[in-house]
Amino acid sequence: MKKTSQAATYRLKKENDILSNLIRTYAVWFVLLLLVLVMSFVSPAFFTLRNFITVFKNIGPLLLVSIGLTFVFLGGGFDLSQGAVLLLTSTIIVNLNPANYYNFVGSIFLCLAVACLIGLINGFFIGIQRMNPFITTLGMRYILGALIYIATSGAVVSAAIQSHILEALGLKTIFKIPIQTLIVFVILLICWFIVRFTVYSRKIKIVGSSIVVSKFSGLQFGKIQMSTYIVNALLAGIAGILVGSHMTYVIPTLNWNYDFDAITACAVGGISLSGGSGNIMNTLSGVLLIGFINNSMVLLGLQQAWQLVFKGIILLIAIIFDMQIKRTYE
Amino acid sequence: MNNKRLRNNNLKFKEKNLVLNVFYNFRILILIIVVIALFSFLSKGFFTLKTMNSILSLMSAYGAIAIGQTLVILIGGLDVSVGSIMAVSGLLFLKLIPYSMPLAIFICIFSGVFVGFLNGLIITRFKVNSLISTMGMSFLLSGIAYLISDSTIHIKNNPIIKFGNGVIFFIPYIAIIYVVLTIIIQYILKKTTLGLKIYCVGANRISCDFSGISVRNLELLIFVLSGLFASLGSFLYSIKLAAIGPLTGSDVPIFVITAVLLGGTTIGGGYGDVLKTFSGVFLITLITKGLTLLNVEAYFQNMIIGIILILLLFIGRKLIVKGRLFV
Repeated sequence: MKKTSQAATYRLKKENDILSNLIRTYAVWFVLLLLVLVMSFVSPAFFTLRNFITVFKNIGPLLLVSIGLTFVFLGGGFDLSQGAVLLLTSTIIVNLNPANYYNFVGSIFLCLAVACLIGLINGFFIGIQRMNPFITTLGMRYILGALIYIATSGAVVSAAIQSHILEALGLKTIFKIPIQTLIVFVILLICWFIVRFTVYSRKIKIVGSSIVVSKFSGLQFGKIQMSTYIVNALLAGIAGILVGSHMTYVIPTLNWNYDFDAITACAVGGISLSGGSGNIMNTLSGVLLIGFINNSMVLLGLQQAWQLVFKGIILLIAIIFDMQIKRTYE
Repeated sequence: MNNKRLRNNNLKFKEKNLVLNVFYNFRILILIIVVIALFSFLSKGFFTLKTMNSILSLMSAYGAIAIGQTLVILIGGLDVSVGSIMAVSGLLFLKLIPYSMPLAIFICIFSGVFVGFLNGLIITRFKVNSLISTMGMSFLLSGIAYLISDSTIHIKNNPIIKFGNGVIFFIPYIAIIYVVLTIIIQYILKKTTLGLKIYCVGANRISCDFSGISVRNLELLIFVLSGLFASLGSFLYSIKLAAIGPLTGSDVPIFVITAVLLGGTTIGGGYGDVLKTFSGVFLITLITKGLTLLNVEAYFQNMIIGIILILLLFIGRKLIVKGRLFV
């Protein structure tokens, strides 16, 4: 009798475990689903292919930046310089305004090299020299701000005669799907594969959860952390190219808050800010939530002020909801 | 074996350099002296009572906010909502001045305390990361700031503005308020049990919980204080400049965090004090004012501050790794 009851409780516990895992993993997706359902009834323009394509195109750069930040967070770091990297590469590509294919490839390589260099410097100071990530990237943000100022001399820079290659990257579509979205989707898949299946991601997670453990298990924790910063800066650089080709002008005071938005997206999605846990799908859910919130605000025709208020409230509710679920099922 | 290790430790202890250590501990003071000397040499108008006066009044508004931020960083958190608290309470203050002065001051201070209380409740009762929840709060508050007024509010010919720009012996009143606030908080941090508790929570939260400190209530108190100081800073800012807009505080969080870190308070908590933050704010204001007199753009001022931030950290890190410093 006793044995069976024990077995029963065990089975119950196991079922409960599966359920809790399910809820814990997909909490933000449920919120997202709820939002989409409610919005489809409220606004007729919401549940259309065109609107969804718009949403996916708009969240592209934020998604790339957030994926980069996910790598850094997994490695136990922190980054405040991505908004500056994004702005710098978009400034470069708009300033160069490549007219033919050779120039185009060259300028993209230049952008990526600059981004890589910034990531390398950040990673060298933080990973190898063990400096505080927060202070280092804050300083880097200020330094890059000055570089952007030198490149733009403080005024709006626009590509006067739009080169058709830049325009193609920014605005062309294949089967109604923008090229930008395709690029972002491919990068998303690659990063998902890396984080889900490779040894490299395990190494990053070990370094992120405990430097001491990684040191005693023979990992070169400094170099691994440095590599996360390089990946991060590279993705921010690509996002900058996409933003630059889409807008075809650069305002040196705009787009600075991409990093704060990315931090919010990662945290809402469920990436641990202290490192070691999370995957790309979490990031995707956070970014999608923010993208759909912004989109539904616009569709409902709210004022800018009310948009900010509701965005704040929804984010706070999502964070608290997520935390509550995690605590009850832990 | 054990003895050998002990001897080695002793040897290392002797190698540590006392002069370097003194230099490292007074690095911000030395930098301040160097910067003052440099700018007095470079521009004629720098080392005058008028410039020093304006530096003191410039630093006091943001400095008051930095006090609250220091307390939050000491317990291992971050408060990004201070900028939008500043906008909201300043706008409320200037809106309500025509009706009644005491009411306006009360509402200005109370709004900051209330938002700080909300922040603290969300962070301590739901165990949310402070950076994220205050970021959500800052979105909300900047929306509310736009709802209160979508353009800059000015006031003219009011006795309180005279007070805000008044000086006694070439020292502005608002600077005196800021210094008094700094001294009070420094006293609380260094001489009272509350201060000891703040340092303990920053150093090790779990052991504090086991030794009977109510960590949750202490954190709540600190976030309320952060909100209070943000609204005080807003009050000082608006009585000095007599104008505030919905976008006013947008660069404040980054500025304040930079000042706190430059002063030497460590992120993650447990080490630092308000006097360090005072020197950080003073250094940044000196640099920006001096470079403005030399007609250097704001972006380059920020770049120089960023380079100083990274270099100081790098040098300190190098010296600590080589075992030259007492840590």
